[in-house]
Amino acid sequence: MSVVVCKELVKRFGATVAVDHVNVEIQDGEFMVFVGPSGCGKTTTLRMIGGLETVTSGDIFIDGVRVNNLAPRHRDIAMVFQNYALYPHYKVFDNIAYPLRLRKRPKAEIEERVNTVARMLGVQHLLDRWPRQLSGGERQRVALGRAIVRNPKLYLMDEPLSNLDAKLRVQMRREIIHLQRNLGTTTIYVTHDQVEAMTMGDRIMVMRAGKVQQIGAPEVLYNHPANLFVAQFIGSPAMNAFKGRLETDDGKIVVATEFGRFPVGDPLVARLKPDRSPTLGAREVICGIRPEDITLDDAPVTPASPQAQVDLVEGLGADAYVSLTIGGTTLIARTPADCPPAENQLVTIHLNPNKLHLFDPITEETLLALP
Amino acid sequence: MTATAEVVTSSSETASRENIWRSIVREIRENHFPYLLLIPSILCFAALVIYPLVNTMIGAFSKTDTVGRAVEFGALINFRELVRDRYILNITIQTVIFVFGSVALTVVLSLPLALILNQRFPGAALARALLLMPWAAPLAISAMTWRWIFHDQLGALNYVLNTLNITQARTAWLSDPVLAFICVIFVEVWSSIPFMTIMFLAGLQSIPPHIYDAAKMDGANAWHEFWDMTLPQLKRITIIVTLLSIIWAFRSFNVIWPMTQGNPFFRTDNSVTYLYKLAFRSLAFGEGYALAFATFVFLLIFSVVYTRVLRSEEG
Repeated sequence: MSVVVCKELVKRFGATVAVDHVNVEIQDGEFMVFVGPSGCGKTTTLRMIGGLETVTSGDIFIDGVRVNNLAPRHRDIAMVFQNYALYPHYKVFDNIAYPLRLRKRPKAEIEERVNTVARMLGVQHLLDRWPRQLSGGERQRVALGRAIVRNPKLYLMDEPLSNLDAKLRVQMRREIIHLQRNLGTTTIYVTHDQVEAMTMGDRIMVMRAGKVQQIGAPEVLYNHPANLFVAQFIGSPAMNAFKGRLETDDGKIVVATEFGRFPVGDPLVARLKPDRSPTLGAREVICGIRPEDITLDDAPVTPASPQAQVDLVEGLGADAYVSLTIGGTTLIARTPADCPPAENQLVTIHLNPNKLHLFDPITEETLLALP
Repeated sequence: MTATAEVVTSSSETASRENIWRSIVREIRENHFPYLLLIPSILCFAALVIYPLVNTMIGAFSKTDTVGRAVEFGALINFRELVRDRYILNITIQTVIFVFGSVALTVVLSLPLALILNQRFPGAALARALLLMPWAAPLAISAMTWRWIFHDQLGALNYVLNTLNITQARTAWLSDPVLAFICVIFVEVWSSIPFMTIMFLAGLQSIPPHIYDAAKMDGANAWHEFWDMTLPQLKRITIIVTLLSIIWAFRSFNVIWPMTQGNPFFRTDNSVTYLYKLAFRSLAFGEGYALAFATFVFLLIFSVVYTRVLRSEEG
């Protein structure tokens, strides 16, 4: 159980800035996910917290103690690696027992704790095997066992599921969530998979090019992304984005695009940041809309409900992704799978006026304040 | 490969009915092209390995004439003479000390060298290249050079020791039996270090780096990392290089012969230099054959037992 604080954390490799002034506070017992594309600095940040990378500048505190210069063995942190990092020359039992042996625990205690953890993870029948004799899922369980056997105050997990097949990944994802909730230990989990981030994290920190883009609960990131990058990184399929201009029509604010004039809902207008108010005149924006916030029908065409052509329909069972072309722009809509439109059909599209996202076209920051 | 394996399996099933030769002929006829490709290698192997080996074996169990031809097969006289040889016990002890002493010293010196060269530091590439130099020079030439270095009147070693006032004595390094033996072991070690260090370096570089990260997180310090991770990971390569080094040291001729020719008084001889003397100086070819054959059998048994014992620990 511990609180982790990173203050102005920087890591440079030569001229490359891998981690750029990261500030984050991870609460006691929290499941924090660092997510971002490859090379965004999430793993480097994790390794600095673990002590496997030196800190170029800034500070890391664990339970109020500055740990910048503390060796990993003095931080009481356990880590699970992407490639499991099991010791190939030790059998499963000895792999799990190794951290306890280093702490010179009595033999009987080691045996008992290894057996308890092995039972918890369902690997008790594998204790006498070599790592090379295990499947990917079994290796991952053993790696988890090695991490939890000594009851550390913090877990670091570096893409632990990315080497598993899709089905096993979903299963292990649930197991890790259950495990973390039962143990209640602070956990930092790194992934590039936004689905893992959304389903596992109490909070998520989105990173890009070494910088923190947004920190928040999954639903906050999904519904109120701080910038266009977060908006398009979180959620699958990604949020649609197109250029437009904020204009006033009969006292109502609309997003004018080259293919339609879409009204902005009153709740959104109320959240428009004061300095970004469009009342001074037309303002260029990037407008975002999630696929599920576009509805399709055959209603009469209006400026607010223009017509689009269906390019492709991808059925997923429960629902379908419909690719649409409208005035040179491609949009993806998510519709129930029971009545999808046919390919090449012309449909009328409706954008939910309360679910639009507005971003500055230059900074790509959101123009909407949090509700 | 699969086709060959199937043919082999089916031919073994029918071996009870067919003549074994006929099944071999059929196997070759059906897969003649791969066998055709094997012929040059088989011929070379037969000419360079099998023929001398068989010849040695025949010679060991035969009476031989003064030019080494076997004249009467089926005799144990050579082994009887060898056992009665007044030097053979000493030679055997010297060989064992020379082999295991030089290999142990080489391991002890090569591993730290490999660990150092495995680090990143300015000039690491140059250091690795320099390390290979003793290996690049022909060993007989190097050994001759060392003989001059150890020369009591003209040698560089005594010159340095005298100049630095460490001693004013002109030590006869290669005339004193004990010093001479130490000197040949020293040169053997010096010449073996490059190979073993490079092999250890290759072994070190093949250790997956993430296990060190895992060990650090598990609470390991630098000593634990070396003892619990590096050493066990080097076990396989150690088995291979020590076995090769032991075999090579048993056959070592190019160090001892140019340096001392086994002198003084056979006190730096090993089994190979001694059998050379038996055969080409005393013209006791039969005894030479017998000693060569005994060494071969010993090394064969030793290699099998050594690898079995060490590998069995891995499960």
